[in-house]
Amino acid sequence: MELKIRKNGENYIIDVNGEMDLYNSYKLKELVMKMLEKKVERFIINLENVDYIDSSGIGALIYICSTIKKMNFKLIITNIHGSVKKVIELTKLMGYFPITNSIEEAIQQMDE
Amino acid sequence: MNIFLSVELLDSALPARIMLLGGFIAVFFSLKSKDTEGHVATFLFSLFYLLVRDIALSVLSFPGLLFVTDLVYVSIASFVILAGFDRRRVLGFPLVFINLAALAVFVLQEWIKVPLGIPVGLLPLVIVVDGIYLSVLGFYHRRLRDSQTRQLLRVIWPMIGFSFILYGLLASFTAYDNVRFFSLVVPLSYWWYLAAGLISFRMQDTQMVQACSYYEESIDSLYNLFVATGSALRGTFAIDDVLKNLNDTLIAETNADGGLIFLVDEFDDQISVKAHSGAFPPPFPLPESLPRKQNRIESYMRHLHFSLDETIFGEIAKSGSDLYIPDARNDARIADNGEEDFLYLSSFMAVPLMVEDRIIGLVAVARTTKDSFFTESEFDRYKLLANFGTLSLSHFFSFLEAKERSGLKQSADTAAEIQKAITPKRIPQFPTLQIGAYTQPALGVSGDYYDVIQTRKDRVIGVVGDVAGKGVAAALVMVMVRSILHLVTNTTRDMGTVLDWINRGMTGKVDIDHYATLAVMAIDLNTGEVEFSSAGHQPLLIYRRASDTLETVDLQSVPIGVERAAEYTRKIIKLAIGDIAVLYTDGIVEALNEQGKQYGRRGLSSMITRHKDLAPKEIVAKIKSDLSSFVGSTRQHDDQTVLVFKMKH
Repeated sequence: MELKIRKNGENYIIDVNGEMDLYNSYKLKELVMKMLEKKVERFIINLENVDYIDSSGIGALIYICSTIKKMNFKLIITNIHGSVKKVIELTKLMGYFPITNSIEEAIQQMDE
Repeated sequence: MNIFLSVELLDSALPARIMLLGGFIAVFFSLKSKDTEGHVATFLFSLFYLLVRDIALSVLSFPGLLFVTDLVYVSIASFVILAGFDRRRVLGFPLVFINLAALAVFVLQEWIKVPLGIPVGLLPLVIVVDGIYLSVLGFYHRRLRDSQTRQLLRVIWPMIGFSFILYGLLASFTAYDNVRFFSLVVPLSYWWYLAAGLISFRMQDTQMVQACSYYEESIDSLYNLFVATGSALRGTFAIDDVLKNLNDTLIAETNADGGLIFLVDEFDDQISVKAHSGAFPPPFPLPESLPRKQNRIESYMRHLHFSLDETIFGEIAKSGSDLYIPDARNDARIADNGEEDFLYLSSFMAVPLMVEDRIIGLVAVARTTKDSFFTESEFDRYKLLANFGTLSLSHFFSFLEAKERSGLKQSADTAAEIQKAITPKRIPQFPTLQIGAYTQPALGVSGDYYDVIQTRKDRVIGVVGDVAGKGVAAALVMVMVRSILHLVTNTTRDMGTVLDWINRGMTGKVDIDHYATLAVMAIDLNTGEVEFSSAGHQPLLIYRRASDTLETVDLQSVPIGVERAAEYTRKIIKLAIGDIAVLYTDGIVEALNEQGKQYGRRGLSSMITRHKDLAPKEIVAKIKSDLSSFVGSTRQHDDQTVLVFKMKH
């Protein structure tokens, strides 16, 4: 799994590349925690290039989401598709995660 | 005076009347070929009735026959008028009753001679009443124009009504007993047929002109569509451009305000928007959480994706049926998302994109202006355009596929050339060492490499390698390995060091997915001493003649190109006379037969022990034929290479 950070105004977009499984989900968690320490307040996690996620990946997303919510910062997860979408639907988390279909929509939603 | 019959008078006008009727019949016969609604047949029926009547009148001489047949004529005419109204034909019955009553009075008074005291001259006034009734019928239905028959009625009812009223009045006035009545008035009561015939011709003509101009416009639209989708091919070859042009053309040709194209994702069972232009208010219920703001709705629409059967779009993609909703505001299938202007959807149509029986996506257009509805003919045009659009899309996909395939083939051809160039043209033979080699690529291009290099008079090096992957990149890795090998083998250093050098030369220079396993073996032609080293390759097989046994010589090591710091070791073995050493790639031992069983090292070993007395060339030939009979018709996925060395006197 590879993580890249882009900046769009106040928004930090994290592009996740590869699989989110037991062996690497912690990386995303660590990255977000570090960014929180550096006072980043708006996160967009782009899962466009993620084709596989397992329970630890879901766990990492839940952890990130609840942490950011607790701090009253903003998080949006975008471009969920394929088997990742199915897993999130199966675990009934579609309503829990703030989700948009595209980065464009995520940025619009952030700016409101 | 017999007022209802005058044979002499009839004789004079009859031939002309029959000719007139014959002409009218010809007119309606020529109309019949293009008549889709069947009303021409009712005209023909009534004309034939008149023909028969006029012929009968000339032969029979009943008193009052003309009046009786006139009553029938008017009754039939009422059904000609009502031909276009299925359920309203009963409206003809009152007229029939009036005529029956008049007939009864006539029969009782004139034939049975019951004195009813009704003046004979008044009876033809029934036809006047009929004429008035027919006019009322025609006037009442004058606004209906949804079929050809009804349009015809709109025009001819005044003529029919007028001719019967006039006819009845004149008949009553002359009491059917006047030369001019028979020669002029009776034929004049037929003239409305001619008018009906001519008007029908004109209507068919207009219809044809309309059809022609519709098709002309369709051809124009199709031309625009192909120009638009074709111009994307000249540019970038990007599917997004093709879809955008297709979408824009569909919007322009249907005068829509916005359009969408969805494509079906083959693996996910879902559809997603690939082109979005103009304003397209969502026809499905929006999520509650989405703010009702124009820019939010627009970007939401631009990135839609649904499972098949989810929302109105998913249903179309699943069922493959068209959807035409002219008045979207008053249709239950269209969701009402709010009162804002940008949510106002006035008219909607959608058509699936089908290639043969497969649904590859769907297109949809919308109008957002109040009371501006798509018409049926626009829907027909849209279906036509969408079908041709699919065609050009499917051509585009085939083109991309062909392009990719030709690229792959070209790359495979290049790789094959390279490989051919670096494979030894002939295997050298030595007085004390015989060598045999066999290689078989799996799919055109091999990832296997073998070589026999004589570095000194008494020293020969055999190499077998397997590069991961195929194609040009793999062939280049092979070339690099070979170049380094040829440069460094003429050394006094051991074979482990040679592999170290190759590894250092390769690691970091090539992508990590292009690594190679390699086995090298240096043979001293005088002593039979063998120095063996391996980089993650299959073990060396050695047949000992003295003990008639097989040994495997294995070295734990990593392939070339993976780890720069890897260190390779070597082993020294001594070959006696008659001993055989075999290097091979995993394609040999992992060859699968139809039952999915591997050939295995056991298969290879048994071939060597069985043919231990043959020369290496013959041994490899035996292995080749045994292997090919083992795998049968099963397709092999890996290249197969074997290199056999045998010591002799």
